[in-house]
Amino acid sequence: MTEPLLRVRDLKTYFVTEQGSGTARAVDGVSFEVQPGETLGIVGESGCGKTVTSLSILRLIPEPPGHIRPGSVIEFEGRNLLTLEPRELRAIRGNQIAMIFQEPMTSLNPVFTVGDQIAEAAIVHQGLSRRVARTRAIDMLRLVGIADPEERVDHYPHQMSGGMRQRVMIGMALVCHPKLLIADEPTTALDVTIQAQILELLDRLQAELGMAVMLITHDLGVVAGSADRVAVMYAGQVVEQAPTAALFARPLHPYTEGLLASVPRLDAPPAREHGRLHSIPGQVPAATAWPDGCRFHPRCPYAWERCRAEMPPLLDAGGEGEPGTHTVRCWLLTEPRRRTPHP
Amino acid sequence: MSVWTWLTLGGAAVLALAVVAELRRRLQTSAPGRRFFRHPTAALGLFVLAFFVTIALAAPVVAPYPPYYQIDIGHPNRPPSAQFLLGTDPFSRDVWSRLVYGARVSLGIGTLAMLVAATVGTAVGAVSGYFRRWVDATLMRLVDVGLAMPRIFVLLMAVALWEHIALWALVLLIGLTGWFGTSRLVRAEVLSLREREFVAAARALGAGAGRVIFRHVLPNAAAPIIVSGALGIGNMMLLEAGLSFLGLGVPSPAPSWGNMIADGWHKMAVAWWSSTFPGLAISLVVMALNAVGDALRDALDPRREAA
Amino acid sequence: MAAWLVRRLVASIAIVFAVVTITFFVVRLAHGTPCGPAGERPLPPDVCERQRVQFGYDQPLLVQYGKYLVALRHGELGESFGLHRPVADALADAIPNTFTLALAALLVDFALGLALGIYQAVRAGRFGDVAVGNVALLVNSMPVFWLGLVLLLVFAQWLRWFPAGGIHNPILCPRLLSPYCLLDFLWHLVLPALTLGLVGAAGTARYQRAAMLEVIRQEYVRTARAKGLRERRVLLVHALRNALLPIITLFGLAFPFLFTGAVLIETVFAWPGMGRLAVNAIFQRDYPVVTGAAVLTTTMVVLGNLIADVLYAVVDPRIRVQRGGRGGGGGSV
Ligand SMILES: Nc1ncnc2c1ncn2[C@@H]1O[C@H](COP(=O)(O)OP(=O)(O)OP(=O)(O)O)[C@@H](O)[C@H]1O
Ligand SMILES: [Mg+2]
Repeated sequence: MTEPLLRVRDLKTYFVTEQGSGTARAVDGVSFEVQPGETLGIVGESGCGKTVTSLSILRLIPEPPGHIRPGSVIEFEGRNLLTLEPRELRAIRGNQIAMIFQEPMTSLNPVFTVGDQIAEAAIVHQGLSRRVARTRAIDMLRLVGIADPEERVDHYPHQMSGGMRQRVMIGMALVCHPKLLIADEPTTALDVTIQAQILELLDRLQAELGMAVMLITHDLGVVAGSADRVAVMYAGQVVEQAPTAALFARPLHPYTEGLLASVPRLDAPPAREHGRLHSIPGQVPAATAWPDGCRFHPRCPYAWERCRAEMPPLLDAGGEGEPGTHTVRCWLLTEPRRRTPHP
Repeated sequence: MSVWTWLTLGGAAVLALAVVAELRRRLQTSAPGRRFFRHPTAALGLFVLAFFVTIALAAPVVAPYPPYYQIDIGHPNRPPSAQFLLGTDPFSRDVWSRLVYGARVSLGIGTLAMLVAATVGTAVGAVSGYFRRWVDATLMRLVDVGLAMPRIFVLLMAVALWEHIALWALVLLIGLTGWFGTSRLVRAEVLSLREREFVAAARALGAGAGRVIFRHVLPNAAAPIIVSGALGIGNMMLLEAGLSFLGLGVPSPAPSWGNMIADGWHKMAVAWWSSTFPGLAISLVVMALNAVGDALRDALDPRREAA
Repeated sequence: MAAWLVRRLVASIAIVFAVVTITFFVVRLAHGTPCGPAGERPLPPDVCERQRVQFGYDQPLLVQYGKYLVALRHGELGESFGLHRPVADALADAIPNTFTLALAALLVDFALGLALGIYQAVRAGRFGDVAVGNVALLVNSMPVFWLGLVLLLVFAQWLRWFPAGGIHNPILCPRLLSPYCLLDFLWHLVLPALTLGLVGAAGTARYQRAAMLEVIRQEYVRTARAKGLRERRVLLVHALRNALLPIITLFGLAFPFLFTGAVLIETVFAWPGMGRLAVNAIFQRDYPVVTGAAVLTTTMVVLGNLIADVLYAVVDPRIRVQRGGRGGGGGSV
């Protein structure tokens, strides 16, 4: 394997919440790697720490209440981002690593034109003049498929639809041709038809610009179409990591199984219960009170004493490819016979 | 005399502390009460208020001299000492005694004027928001005009039309020029409340306008009215002080904190104390009222909890 | 935008008109004539009667009202009882002084208030924020005239850094003619402007802190950071520009505060402005001057609100476009 572009090792991001309800361990020992040019999908239910993970990479966690624990490592091209000086960090933000956010409606500054907001990164990182940067902004608007870019460049965010704003966000993120794009649920807030267009656009731009993408989503359908590899997160941890095809063919963690079962399929009628798609029973616990042992055990159909007592490490699941290609955080790997649900 | 002064002073402080502690104990059982006392300066503000209310109520006991008593006309402007806690003023009256009696006037005028303003403002706002249409349009234009007129000029004009202004008239004047903001607040609240189900239900059951407003709408609009009232007392007190300072408010020799400042003003260079202490008293009380008002807002309206 | 502006303008004029009408009738009906309740110097009945005729108070009320309105169109506000000159002239002499004072105070108010509010928001919850916040709360609770007295005592009486009142040195600089006299004027201006400005700044800081905290939480501020901007640029360009929008409302609100404060501060510092004129007029029962000052102040307050509204529309692109104007030229990121 080549040297990874991004290597996250044992990332722990905690929030000290007010009024003594304790520390929210939003991200609690996450490790993964992103290779140059690949797409890594990160999936998980709401509240499992996806956004906090991605914000931690660019050190955008609000401090206080949050902080990244010592011992965490985030290496980008071999440099630990967590020990960089602010100036060095700024040279990476928006330039080498760019980010687009969940909410296109609120992620653009309402009092500046979209053109100015796109041009700003180019001016800051590449020292372009305002005029050249404006031309660049128009080019970016065209690239992300906005009609009439010459006119749109002077518009304000509120004059655009949600889909268009997300395109602007993408244009803004890509203006400096970053090596890594972190897309935090770029389509969650959009209509289904727009979602497909935006994902298609991201795919196309990734191919054209040759960047790596971290695609964060809670929708396995999105991952299936775009990602090379997938990391499944639960309760602040990665619970399973595998190439996309392998994960869909052979989900090993019970949580992944549950997620896959809840994806509507064309080839099989959706399993409906009470008018809802099949979903995993129970709820994600609060980040201030993760369960002991395996964090999934209260919702797991296979759980036994060991799961309640001992947190499983990431275990190698074998399969094709090198060791470590498919890893799972589940005791079932040591006792596969137990894969029969309790009554 | 001076031992007694210190004793009463300490007594008032202890009493105020006890009041705050008791309040805290009782309110600790409710969520808004806990939110109130979580505010960093709420308890301190309450203490200051309780202290001044105590000495105002117990003025004859606390004050070592009658408020008009000129101790030694030959030797006015005595500096603060063991005998005269805050010194004596240019008319040789004990500043501490006048401050104690002045608390009655200043706090009383502020509170009563606020009650007038809150009553009128609530009534106008409720009528305006409930009946809407031309009633609303007319009343709100009136409010626009009222808000546009600088209040001090209105008061100056009004005061100038009387030869001697009685205290009740001053209260009415300050109150009647201070309800415009409250009425807007209440109107907005009523406008949104009257669309809610429980109000519609009451109307459907045939309740009259008065009943709906008093039984269903206003109780639900109480929080912002209370908060703006608490913050309003301070404003009223500052206004009274300003008018009295100009010689147009509470007439001498009755002590109000505003006219005490005026009395000492021209002798400030030789006797800084007689103007400084009443001003400090106003600042402290208004600050306490603001702190309590802020805490009340956080307590009663969690949606707007300060970030 | 044009239609909105016209509507807004008409409403403003209506308010001023209403205030003129109300003050006129209230003062007249409460026998605000030269023979009204005796002031410092009661007039003998014959003098009083002569003056009633001289000032036109013998005519029917509505006729007087009509004349007042007609005169108002030419910028006249009637004749003063005591100053032996038109009210408009007396006010015209006083206004520049009040304006200079108000502008200087406004400068202190906003420069200091914004800076402190931003500082507090950036350090929210830490020692600096709490310390500044409590001091601001205290200053904001002080009677403005009392703060003036205290500053006078300390800086004029004890330290002798600044003059004890007045607008210029009456012997060396009876008029503003030389650079020295300009300095002398500014030297006199410092304390009153500081007094008024400090109290205003305490309120502005509270407001600005809240506005800034609200904005700092917004996602577009995070977007700006993710772009790799300096923290200073994030706060002072991306956040501040949004946090300034509500402050413009405060700008409109500052006018009543400044004029109210001016009435008291001018008295404390013997500053020959409109407020002092009005207060003196009250003791002389010189109603035309009081009415004139009230009308003028109202006009200025209404104008201030109008300016604030227009500014708001100019600065906030959302309103600008919504009201029919096309964007462009505004944003310089
Ligand atoms: N500013 C914060 N203060 C306190 N806790 C926080 C903060 N931000 C996040 N958290 C905690 O971190 C946990 C993970 O949040 P995160 O936003 O990463 O979830 P997510 O996986 O992105 O969910 P979603 O799909 O809803 O976006 C939350 O449960 C929350 O308790
Ligand atoms: Mg998220």
